[in-house]
Amino acid sequence: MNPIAVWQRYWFPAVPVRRIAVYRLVIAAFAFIDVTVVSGFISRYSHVSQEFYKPLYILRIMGHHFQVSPAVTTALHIVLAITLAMALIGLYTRVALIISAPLYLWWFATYYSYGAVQHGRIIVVISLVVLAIAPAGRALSVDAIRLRSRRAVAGAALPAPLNETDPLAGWSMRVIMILVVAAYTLAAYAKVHTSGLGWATSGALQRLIIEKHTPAGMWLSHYPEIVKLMQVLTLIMEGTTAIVLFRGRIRDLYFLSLAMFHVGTLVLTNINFLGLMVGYLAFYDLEVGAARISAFAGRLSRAKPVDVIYDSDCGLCVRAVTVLKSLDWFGAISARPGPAGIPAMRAIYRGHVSEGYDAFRQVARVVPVLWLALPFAYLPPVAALGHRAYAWVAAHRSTSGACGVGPDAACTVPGHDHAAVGGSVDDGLGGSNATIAGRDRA
Amino acid sequence: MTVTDTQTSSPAVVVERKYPRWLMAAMAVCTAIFVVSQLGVGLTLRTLTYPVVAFPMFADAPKVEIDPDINAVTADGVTHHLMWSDFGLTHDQLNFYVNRKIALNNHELRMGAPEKLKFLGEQWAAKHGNPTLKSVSLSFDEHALDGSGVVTKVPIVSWTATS
Repeated sequence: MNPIAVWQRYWFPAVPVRRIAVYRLVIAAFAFIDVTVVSGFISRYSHVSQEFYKPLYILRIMGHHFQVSPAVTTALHIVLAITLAMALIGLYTRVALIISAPLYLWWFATYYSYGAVQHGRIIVVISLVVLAIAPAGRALSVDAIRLRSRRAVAGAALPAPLNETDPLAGWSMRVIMILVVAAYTLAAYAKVHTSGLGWATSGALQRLIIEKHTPAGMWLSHYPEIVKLMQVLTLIMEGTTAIVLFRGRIRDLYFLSLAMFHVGTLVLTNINFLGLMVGYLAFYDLEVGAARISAFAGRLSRAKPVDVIYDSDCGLCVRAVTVLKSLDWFGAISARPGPAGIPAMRAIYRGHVSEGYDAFRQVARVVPVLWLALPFAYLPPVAALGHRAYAWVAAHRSTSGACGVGPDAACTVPGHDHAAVGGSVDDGLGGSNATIAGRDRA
Repeated sequence: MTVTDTQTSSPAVVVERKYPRWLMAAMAVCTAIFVVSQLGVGLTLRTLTYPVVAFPMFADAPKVEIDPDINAVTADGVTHHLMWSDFGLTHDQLNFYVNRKIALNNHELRMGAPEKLKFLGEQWAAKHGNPTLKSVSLSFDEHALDGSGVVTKVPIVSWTATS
């Protein structure tokens, strides 16, 4: 067996792009909340005396021998937050990740340069790096919606979502998997290498618990035998973590045990390993889980989909409906072309018909991603502007297969033609199913 | 143009994206270098100033825990307890500074330890109306690890104003 081929096969399995898209959502959300809420205090370190500053090796090789000034720190903090938000929604995803990954590393390396180095967040940094290399923005992102809407053509069926597999997507998850296992295994190695197997029954954990001085820890410190038992279990669990590389119940059980271990670490020593725990997700078929959650949410709502009727001869209308379908993760919209010359998009929900701007608002009410924008859409000035803008666009749209507004806009895609049979919509993530009755249009 | 039975969306087809062989080869080599370097750093325990994935916390096992206790005496004779927050640091970060610049947990003094205590006193004074300092001292609170809860105060080093 060719070892190079084995290496390639292991590291580059083609997995669904949606898997890393879900992982991107979790990692970017974690990092965004982290830098804006949890660790925002790090920006104040630019005011702390230089005497306390001992830059990490990684900062020294980047030329950071001195503290960054408060103004520059604030500016970089803002850039970091903005790029993480962009990575979260998937807007220029790769660029956002390329900028945010080193900034997130700098952010925490700065904090660690004032004290002992911890490693809990490094999985998040490496996740941002591998997601920047892999095509993490090709699903569940603004980029993916733009890509899909560009394929929308007047007179043709709505383009299906990209349903891709990618070897770099598999690679990115493999890297995280190996690093999660390495983190635990190397932690066990460090303990045994430094103190021998006797570490398991030493007072090391007792020492840490007293040093951290949490109420729960101080209570437990009066029972040193229990603390030693916890040490033994910790060493066994860390040393055998490689088991999670195998699929099945044993993996689930191990991750459950590790999660409980970290909850204990948080309660007893106030050390937070949530940044490492998010790496567990790389071991799972996240796209399957997301689809199940989406289907469950769809069932929970028990609502009939909003029936959206649009002008399929209008390129702009087809693009708009494609965007709405892309945002419809829970199957709340069923879209179908209306009769030729339909003056405005219609939304029919429980027998109530809305048109134009009102139809957009009706759709926004059933698509959770749009709920944030919904209150603004009902503000009188916004609503008035929306109605006028819709009326203007509707009056000036091209209905001759054009992609945009205006009589000269033309749009053709080679090989893209009308579908000839009724069918169903598969919009991924538990997307809606809308069967269309046959009809003729001239 | 006549269209019959228009469907609203074409069915999703799974497409495998392909990359050039040279790119995959380069990725494989870079991956090997990265993994080997990470494992190398972890196995040689060079994790203190290098944010590699590993957390060899509590790798040593001393018999007692040591907690720095820093006190400053001002000209009016009042003793003030200096807190980590007085320096804009966390509890751990002040401990780290004390170990790095003043004294190790085994009581071994660092060179220039009294001057570092003076520096801490001045930092504290600057935040509290610049009172005149008479002395700044460091002691360690040593906790017994046998569950008894006994804490012993061990004086380590102090700085005293000359005039």
